[in-house]
Amino acid sequence: MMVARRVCLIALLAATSAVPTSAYLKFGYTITGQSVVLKWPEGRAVTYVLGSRGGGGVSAGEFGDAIGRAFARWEAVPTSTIRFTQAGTTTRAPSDNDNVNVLTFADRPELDRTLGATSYTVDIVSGSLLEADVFFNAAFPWSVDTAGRPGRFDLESIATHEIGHLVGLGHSALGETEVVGSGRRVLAAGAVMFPIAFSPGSVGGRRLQADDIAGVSDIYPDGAFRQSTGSISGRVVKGGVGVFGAHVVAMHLRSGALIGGFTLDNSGAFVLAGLAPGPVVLRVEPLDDGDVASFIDGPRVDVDFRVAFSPQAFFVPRGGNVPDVIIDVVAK
Amino acid sequence: MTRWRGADRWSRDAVLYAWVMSMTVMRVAPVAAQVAVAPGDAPPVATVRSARVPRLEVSLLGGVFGGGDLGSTDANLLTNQPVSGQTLLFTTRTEITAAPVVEGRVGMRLLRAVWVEGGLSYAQPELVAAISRDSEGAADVRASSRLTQVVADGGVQYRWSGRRVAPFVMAGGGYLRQLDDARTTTATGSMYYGGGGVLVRLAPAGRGWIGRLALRGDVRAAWLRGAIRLQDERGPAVIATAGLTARL
Repeated sequence: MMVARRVCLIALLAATSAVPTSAYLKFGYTITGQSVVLKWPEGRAVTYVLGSRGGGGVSAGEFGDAIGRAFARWEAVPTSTIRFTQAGTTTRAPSDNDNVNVLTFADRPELDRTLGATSYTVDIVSGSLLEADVFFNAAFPWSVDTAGRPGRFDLESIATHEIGHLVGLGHSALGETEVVGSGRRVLAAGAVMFPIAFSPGSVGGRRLQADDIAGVSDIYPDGAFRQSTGSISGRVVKGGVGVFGAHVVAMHLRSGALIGGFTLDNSGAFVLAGLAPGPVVLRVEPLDDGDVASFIDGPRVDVDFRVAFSPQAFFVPRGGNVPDVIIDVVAK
Repeated sequence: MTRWRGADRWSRDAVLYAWVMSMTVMRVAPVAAQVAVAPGDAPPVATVRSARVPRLEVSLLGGVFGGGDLGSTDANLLTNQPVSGQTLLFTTRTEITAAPVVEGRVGMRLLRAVWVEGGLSYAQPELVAAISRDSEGAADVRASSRLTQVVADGGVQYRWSGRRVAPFVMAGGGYLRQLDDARTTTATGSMYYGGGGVLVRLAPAGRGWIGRLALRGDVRAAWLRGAIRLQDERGPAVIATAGLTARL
């Protein structure tokens, strides 16, 4: 018997259950004590339906074109097998448990900081995704202009982010922010999946970055991905005690590519997977560039330590793992 | 062997050359050599002396593998602005440090002044990434990893013979293998080199075993390709070695 449960995720302020053994942040679900990666069943394309209305200054036709380009961007990742198929349009609002994946505009003026959101229906027996719906908040001004339009959010950028959630990715912490009033403004980001959107007029969120590509490839790897990349695993400790919620970033010394992950248990354990072979350095930082809850559930996240680098450089082996890396951090 | 009787018409070098070549035949094909030195057909005195010219030599060398700069790489984030730009998260400058190297080489004389050599060298340089300019003020760090580097090479040497000092130039290439500190990555590539050096005999030839020994010093510029690298092209590393050569 299939039992379905709705897991609600709001893209820009997401509540997540994270899988401990992963790079980036893959959404997960705990089934009989085991964390399972949320993912679509393998071997068939994810079918989606577009809302038939426009919103925020964007017509229905422009909406469909922009969403199509955003899906195509994820499909174009050469090391991932995820595929999508559009199955027409609908006038219905997104609804749970109807087995239809809908992307549409919705009037949600009460969500004055939420540009879009993704919600899932999950098979809690297998962890498979059964359904995902995405809405874009029509209360904001939108644009689909190629170069963006001042004062309007780029629909294609936000759609690319939401589709990242749709395939099972959580938020990346690769970015820097500043406090503005009661909120935060992003200064720079190293992943489409950073939880705070670029400012109106920017189209920078359309381009998948190394962290996004590694993430989707890790969930839906093609035949060569695991053999052609490697991983690093270890622990972040402070005074000999594991740090929960540290953000660990590997920087490839050849390409400069950044791939991040988190320590997601009390031992401070992390795994960074999908790394290109070769020399890397590791940087650890606290999750202080956004609402902690937008990355990881729970009050235990430790942000009381200084940004630090590992004093060791590492060589990521092709198809292998560098184990037992220990990174010491000190309190602020 | 009748040609040896006419040796007085040849230059001394030509005689030596002919004798070396005949010695080569002796080593490779002993039956033919026995015919060549059949009784009653002894070579002239000059050629007998040249028979002491060594054909093989073994060198044990120690020195320095000079390392080199592997360039700089920035960790960038995409800037939040309408026209895309990049914001520096931190920067790195990477180098392979200089390290002691030990090397064994075997040479064989092919022609009067031309030797071929094979060598095997071992060094443990460090890959060091100097990390700085962190946007959140992290302390600068020199992140390092020790490499084990083995090179098996072959090359050619041209030598100017003197009474005691023999300068030479050399060039060659070989197989490069680098293994990282954690023994998780083995990278292979190639190395090409060119350089020169000098051999200094400890004593004149014919003084017993000490006459077979020479001090050797050389300096090479080595271009490493493949293996652990940051860019496809990189400058040469200098390798300087010195040691003892025994002539067999």
